Amino acid sequence: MDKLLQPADLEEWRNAILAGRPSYKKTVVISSGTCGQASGSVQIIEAFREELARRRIEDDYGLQITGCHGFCEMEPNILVYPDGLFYRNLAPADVPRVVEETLVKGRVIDRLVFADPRTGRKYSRQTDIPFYQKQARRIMENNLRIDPTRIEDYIAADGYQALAKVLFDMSSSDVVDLVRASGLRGRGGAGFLTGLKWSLCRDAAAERKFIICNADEGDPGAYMDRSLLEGNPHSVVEGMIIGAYAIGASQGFIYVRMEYPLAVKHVTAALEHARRAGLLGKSILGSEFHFDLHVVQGAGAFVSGEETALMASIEGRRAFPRQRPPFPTQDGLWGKPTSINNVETWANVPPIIRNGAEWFAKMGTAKSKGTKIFSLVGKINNTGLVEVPFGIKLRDIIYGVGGGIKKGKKFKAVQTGGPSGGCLPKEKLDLPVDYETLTEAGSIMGSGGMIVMDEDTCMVDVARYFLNFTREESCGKCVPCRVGTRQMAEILARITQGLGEEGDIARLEDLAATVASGSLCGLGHTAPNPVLTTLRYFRDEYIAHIRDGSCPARFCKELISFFIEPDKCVGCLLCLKICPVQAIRGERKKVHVIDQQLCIKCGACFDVCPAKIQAVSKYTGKKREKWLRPAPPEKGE
Amino acid sequence: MKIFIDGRAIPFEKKRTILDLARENGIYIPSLCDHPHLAPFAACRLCLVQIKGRKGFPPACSTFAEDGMDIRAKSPELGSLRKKILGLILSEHPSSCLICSEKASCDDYKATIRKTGETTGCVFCPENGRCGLQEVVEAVGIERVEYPFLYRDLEVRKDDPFIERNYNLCILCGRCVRVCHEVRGARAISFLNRGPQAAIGTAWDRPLLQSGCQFCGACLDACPTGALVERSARPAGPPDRKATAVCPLCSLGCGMEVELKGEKIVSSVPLDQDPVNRGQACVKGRFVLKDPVHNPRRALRPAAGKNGESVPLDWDSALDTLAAGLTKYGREETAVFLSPELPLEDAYLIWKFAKEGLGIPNISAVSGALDTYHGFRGESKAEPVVNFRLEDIAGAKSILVLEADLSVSHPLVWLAVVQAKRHGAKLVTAAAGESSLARCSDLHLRIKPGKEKLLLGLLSRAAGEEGLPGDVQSLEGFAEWKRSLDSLDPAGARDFLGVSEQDIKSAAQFFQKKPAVVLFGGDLVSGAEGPGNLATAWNFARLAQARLLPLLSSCNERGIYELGKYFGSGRMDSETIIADIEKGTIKSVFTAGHPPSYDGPGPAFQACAACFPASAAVDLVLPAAAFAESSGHFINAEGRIRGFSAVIRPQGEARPHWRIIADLAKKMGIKGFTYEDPASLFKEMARRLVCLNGALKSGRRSPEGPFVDEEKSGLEKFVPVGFHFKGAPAGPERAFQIVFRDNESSYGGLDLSRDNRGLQRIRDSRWIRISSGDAGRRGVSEGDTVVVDYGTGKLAGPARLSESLPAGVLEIRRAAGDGLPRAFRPGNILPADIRRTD
Repeated sequence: MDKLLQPADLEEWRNAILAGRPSYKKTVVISSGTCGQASGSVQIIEAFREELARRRIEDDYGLQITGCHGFCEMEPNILVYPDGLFYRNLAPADVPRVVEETLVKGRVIDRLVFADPRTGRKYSRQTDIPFYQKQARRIMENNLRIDPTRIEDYIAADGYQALAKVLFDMSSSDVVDLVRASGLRGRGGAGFLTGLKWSLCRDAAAERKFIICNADEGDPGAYMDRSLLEGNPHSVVEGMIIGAYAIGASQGFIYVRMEYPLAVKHVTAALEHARRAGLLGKSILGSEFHFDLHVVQGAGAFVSGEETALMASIEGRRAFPRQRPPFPTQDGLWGKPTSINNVETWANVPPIIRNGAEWFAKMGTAKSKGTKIFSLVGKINNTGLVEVPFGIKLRDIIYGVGGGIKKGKKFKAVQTGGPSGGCLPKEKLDLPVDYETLTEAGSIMGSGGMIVMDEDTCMVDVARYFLNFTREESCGKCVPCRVGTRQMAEILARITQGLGEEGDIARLEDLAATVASGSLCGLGHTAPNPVLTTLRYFRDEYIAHIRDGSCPARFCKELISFFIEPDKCVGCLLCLKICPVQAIRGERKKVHVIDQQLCIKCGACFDVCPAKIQAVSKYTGKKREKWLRPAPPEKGE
Repeated sequence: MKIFIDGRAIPFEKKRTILDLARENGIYIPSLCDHPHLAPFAACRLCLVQIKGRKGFPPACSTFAEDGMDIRAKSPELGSLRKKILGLILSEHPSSCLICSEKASCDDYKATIRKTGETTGCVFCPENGRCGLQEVVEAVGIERVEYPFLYRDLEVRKDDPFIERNYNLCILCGRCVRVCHEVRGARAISFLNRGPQAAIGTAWDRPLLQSGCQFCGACLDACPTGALVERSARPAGPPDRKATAVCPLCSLGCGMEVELKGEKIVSSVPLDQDPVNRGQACVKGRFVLKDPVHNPRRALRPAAGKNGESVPLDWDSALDTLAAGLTKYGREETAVFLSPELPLEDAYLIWKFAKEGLGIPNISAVSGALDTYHGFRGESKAEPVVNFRLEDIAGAKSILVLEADLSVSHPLVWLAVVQAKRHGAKLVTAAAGESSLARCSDLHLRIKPGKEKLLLGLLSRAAGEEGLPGDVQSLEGFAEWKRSLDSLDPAGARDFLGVSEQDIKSAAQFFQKKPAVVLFGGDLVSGAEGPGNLATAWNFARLAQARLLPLLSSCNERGIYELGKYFGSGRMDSETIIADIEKGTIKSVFTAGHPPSYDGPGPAFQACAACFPASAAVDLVLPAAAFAESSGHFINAEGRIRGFSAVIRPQGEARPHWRIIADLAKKMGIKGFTYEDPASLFKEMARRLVCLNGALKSGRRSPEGPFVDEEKSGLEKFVPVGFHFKGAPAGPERAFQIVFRDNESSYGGLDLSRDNRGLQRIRDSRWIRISSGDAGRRGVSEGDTVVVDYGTGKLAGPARLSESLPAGVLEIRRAAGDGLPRAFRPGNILPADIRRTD
């Protein structure tokens, strides 16, 4: 393919790609992002290739390898078009049957069809599955169609049309105004108006300007940026070129953590393909606009996602945040005005340009427009990436799209916004999700992590986990964050170990206030959020830990013990055999007893005891104490 | 424009931080990480303030004042927040003493306990009483640390020279790291790890010796706590008194504050406000300054002797001996040498006495470089020694450094180069020898030894090819210079010079960026090639429109040069005088300072007035006052006049040179040499020396200090230079060439790099440097004893492997009194071979 020298060349190329597409009887789409590959998609692809070749029907049936479709729980999964069939959790051994039955004979294989874990109802077509049906997939949808290693697929899906429109029909201020009118806000967490950021950067006087894509996604359990970069890198690249045009930047950087090797690979290839097509570099599409992009890999520090730390890292320095103001739009990379936006924000730009600000603003709430991708994880049936409109209720995400809590347990809390976010209780399930409501409730939108917790989760332990994370990931520069999170984590650890003291809650609140108001960057400002929200909504659990030595969720090891109920135990030896430390004594058909001195509280006995018997109990607090008290000596001994 | 702090209006003009403005107006805002020489960091969070209309608590240290800003620096809310943050700092720093209610009455017990191995409280800490943390605790007022103590229990690092590091006391303010990066350009230390493991240290936690550390001590001075301390000052505790002094250990003359216990200097710290060094020093000034004063080798009483035997004399008979020795032979047969380390007053009086009192025609400084400068000036009617300011170098856009390892020889110039680099200047270094400068250079030209002149010629030629402005072409002598250059063959450069044509082209291109400066040390202009090197450098500088800045070596070399210009009829060339001594035509020699070395038996009578007894051949040694024991002036390499006063009495019976001469003149009955003190001497000198009188009138009161009146002559012309290349030097073919470097770490003839055990580990003058590649081929490892065979003799020493030395080159540093032949000196290149001793 030659360099595109004018916008018409792009259209021509697109038509040529569409015209040149082979007409298959059926096409199998295989989801093969990082999660897909980890679940075995590479083997599935191989199996399809072999099977089609063996039958010599590779010209009739196509294979399309794409990035992640979002439904992690079902990986590896495939789609069969034109029927739109969805097969889940495939094994390589299933492939010959799929080829035989579904491709050749056109039958549905019932065993591979998705079944709702709650209702048992089966859905053979992907679009009917509630997980997909209830989403509003504006950004993610192309992940179903596009082979991320082929620029042609992106071009065929109207790729770079927005860029052509911007370069030849719009002035830079038109672009900024349009994005401003759309109400697009930063998807990285703080929710700053993208158009406003661009206009600040555009108006800053400087001979050089930069743009940066922040792909240093570090929140535990969050991976929407990875999926976008892996599955549709050109959408981000196109968004960035448009942004660069709007701002007047000549160079841009994609800062992606090196723990995302597939994203690095795909986005690096995408840049090369775009460069070859004349979509990056000098005179883009024959215009007078010059711009190029570079990939910079981060070394894995969470704080590198903080914008000033990220820029320090690109400059080759230690990823230390610095005091703002000045903001990057004034004094950014190498001291030049810089607009730094998140992956998802950049990916939103091309559709806004193509469809207009009104189209974008139609979805969402008064202040939060468009859709947001969440990574829905934890104790949820449909683990995966979900794209929903702003304003959707938490309940609809968790129960509608997410399919409810695993194993029919009770919902306890949902943690949004990663380690900087907070835990919201069931009373907040009807909260319409947008930037403001979450902040009011004590949490944050963050980059879109959503961790669902069930009744077995100890909220003090959750707070401890997140504080531990921020403590370890604090860059160490400012005192409140470095030492304050350390002191908070120590207190939380003590509480979960049953060593909490009266006054610990006050101490935590005091430290939280110091860390939040005294810290240098966002990491410190928000680090106390998990503690503050759990204290706000689950204070009883803290009090129970401290006063009664009891963990209401029966999770904290030091506060629980496992016992075998003599009246329920049937003496089946199951628990005795599974115990890794031989702490259970007993004989066949005789009641088993756990030696509390030896027990390491791994819970293996609890899990192995058959559901209909449930002889193993987990007790905390007073009940546990009663059980632990040595029984009075039996008479006759 | 103005801001309001707690209601008080404070006017300001340029971009300033709130903290700076508050401090200047006497408003206290606590801070630990801020430092006047460093960029804002905002880490300690103690300077948080409230600003009307802004949310949160912005830090005063990194928030710039804006007109009309309404700031609260004091409020109950801020007080409580600062207390809590300080409490967090103290939860990681031993705090029992800091918040002890008995601390006021603890003084009596803490006399010796700071000698303890590990500091666990203020009374054990050498910084007690001058600690930034103590000051802040006092100001913020904290009675109790609410949080449990999280002691880090890190190993105290004592494995380095001079510096002890106890990171258990570190509060991670980052001042040490920032000064090492921002000011020193050494980047030896950095932040390590993150979270609770965050710490300061070297790469892979190696000793500082292996980290690129220059041991300048800037980190110690920047550290607000006792985490970094000077080992030797640790047991001494706080000083009795402090005094200012000018460091005599290189030609910059840093302003220092010496800390004294009685009559003993215990430590020396760079002066923050000094116009030359601005709070910076180097390893010599910071850690070794006291060594030449309080040294067991000092000459403490007059002594006569020969062949190793020394007979003590009283001053009276010693002066008689000297008077007799100076008049025993004819004037033509008598010579006087001056050390370029002598204060201006002393040197002036000696010169005056020898020339005007005794009529001796042979007077010279012991400096090969000065021979060359005087020679150039006489021949070309152009003045090579000019005034400059370190700021001129810091503001340059392109810099060429020839044959000088600035970080060792002129550390303050190195700092100016670091600043220039920070602002985007291009740095080109050319050296056959080892240079730590090389790793920071944009281009390092590893020329073969002795080929500096050729390099400069080829650089000029390449600069000419880049195109020359018309005013350069119209300078006097241009056509002749161009003809000389045309005779050079750039393509032959690689073999003969060891540098590719492309590199020379790039170097010339760098020099398109102006202002451009060319820096060189004394080694380039010493020896037989010196005059040719200087002339070529001169012409290159005209061509490239660069400033040619000669970096003199000794603390008063510039002053002696100016005296030479004033007194300079007679013979001033130390080389020819020494040659006459070796021939025996000069029979009597007096040296003020340490005498030069001669091949052969030396003169019939030889006397010196020095701090350290010279080699065995000297007949009479008069103990002279050292640095800190006398008052006077130096003229530093910049041309700045640096005055200093005695801070202690001379050791033993030592006397300042001026007094020795005054007493001698009196004894000999020569009139006109009676002076009360150096001040009256200076008055006379300022009257007589043109270079001093204008400067002293105008510059005395400026904070920059006065400069000598420089003579700007010949700047508008090229000087004649021819290029004649000889083939390989005749003589036996040997595998290596030795280049000699001046020992930059000496004073009064004392080789500090051997005398001081710490400095010895950093730069021992006995090291024989060899390139790593050659070492590998010869089976030599670091520290092996090697023997260098130079034909007429052998020399043994420990091998030091170097990455920046070219193959086939050995580098040896000369030290006074090392007994080596005189051919072993900078500017000379000798063929040699090397082997490892088994």
